[in-house]
Amino acid sequence: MNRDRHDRDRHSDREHRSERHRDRDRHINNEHRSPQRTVVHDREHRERERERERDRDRHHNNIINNNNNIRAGATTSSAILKSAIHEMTTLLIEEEAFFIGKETGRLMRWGELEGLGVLEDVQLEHQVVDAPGVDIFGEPLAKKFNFECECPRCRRTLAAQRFAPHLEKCMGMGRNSSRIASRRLAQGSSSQNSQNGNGSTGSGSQGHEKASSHQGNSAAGSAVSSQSHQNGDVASEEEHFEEDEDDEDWTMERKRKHTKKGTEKISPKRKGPLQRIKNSEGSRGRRGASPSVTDSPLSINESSLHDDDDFAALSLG
Amino acid sequence: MEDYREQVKDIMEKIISDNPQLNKVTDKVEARLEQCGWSDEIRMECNRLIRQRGIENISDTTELVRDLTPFARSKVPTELKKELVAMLKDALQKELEGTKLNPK
Repeated sequence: MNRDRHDRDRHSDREHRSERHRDRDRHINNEHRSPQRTVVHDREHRERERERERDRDRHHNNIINNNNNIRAGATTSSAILKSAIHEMTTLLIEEEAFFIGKETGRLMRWGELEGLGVLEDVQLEHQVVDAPGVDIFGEPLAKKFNFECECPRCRRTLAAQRFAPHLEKCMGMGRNSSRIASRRLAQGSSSQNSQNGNGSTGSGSQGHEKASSHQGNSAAGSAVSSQSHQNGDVASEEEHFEEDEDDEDWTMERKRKHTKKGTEKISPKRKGPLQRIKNSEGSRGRRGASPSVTDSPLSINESSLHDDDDFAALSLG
Repeated sequence: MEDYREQVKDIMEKIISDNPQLNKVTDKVEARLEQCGWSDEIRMECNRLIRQRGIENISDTTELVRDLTPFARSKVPTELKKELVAMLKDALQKELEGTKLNPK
């Protein structure tokens, strides 16, 4: 059944096609036809062509509309994304600007903008410089070495590395300065004691006098300073300040550290107050002076036993 | 249009607060803005505005921010804008699938 139908359709199509071919041929070969018949055929032909064109247009429009529909769906989602991205970027930028504005406003309320040199009231030379490659003073950021400084007290120019230790001593502050001061005090007091000792005992022995004079001479330089120190005049003491002395004192610790184990420690060149007293009194003892307080009774006896007569006396019983 | 903008803002803020990845993106954005010198330019502009108006005349910092915002938007370099767009596109594409946004 179906097959028959199909065959019939096919047959009808073939007939339709053959008619079209005939029409075409007739159209081409118009010469042998009659004029009336050609006019009718032309009209029909034209109508058919118009219908075909309309069909084609409709089909074309349908395709276009379908495509447009697909694109329309895509643009809504992409438009949303675009608008969202745009809004997000503006949001982020506005937030950042907001934070910076708030921070600056806070500085303004706290009065820090004046210090930063933002306002025109601050002098140009004191304004903070805010430029790339340069620090806040306007100096280049490259490191500088070999700075020289001038001490405000003694007006000496010094290397930067030496400035801090020098200032420590120059101003009389710090550990070493206190040691120096205590040493000078001791020197001063010992010289005073020696002077007092001379006055109370009378002439005394020559060695004692010499020792005292020696002490006095040695302390002469510091006597003035000690007196001035006692008076409270620090500036005059500092006028006599010698850097070498205090450098030695300061570097003594380093020398001690460098000594090897097992060997005797290097005796310091500078002697403490007790050492000087001992030495001075020891020198007095050698010259036949009266025994000192520091000498022990045993030592006295030993010294006395060095005389032959006494020894002989002892041995005989 | 302003309503739509407000709507987007609310959604964006919610997304940023909920999504840790977007927080990272915002941190990156801040770092890039600082790196390219935009923050310094904005600070200088802020200082200039203060100098121009005078401290006494500025009662509220919101006025300052309001004047600063258009300048800030204009001063973002185009390369950075493209970078921002690329960063946000990936992060937002997934987030926006579930939201209702109608650009009108």
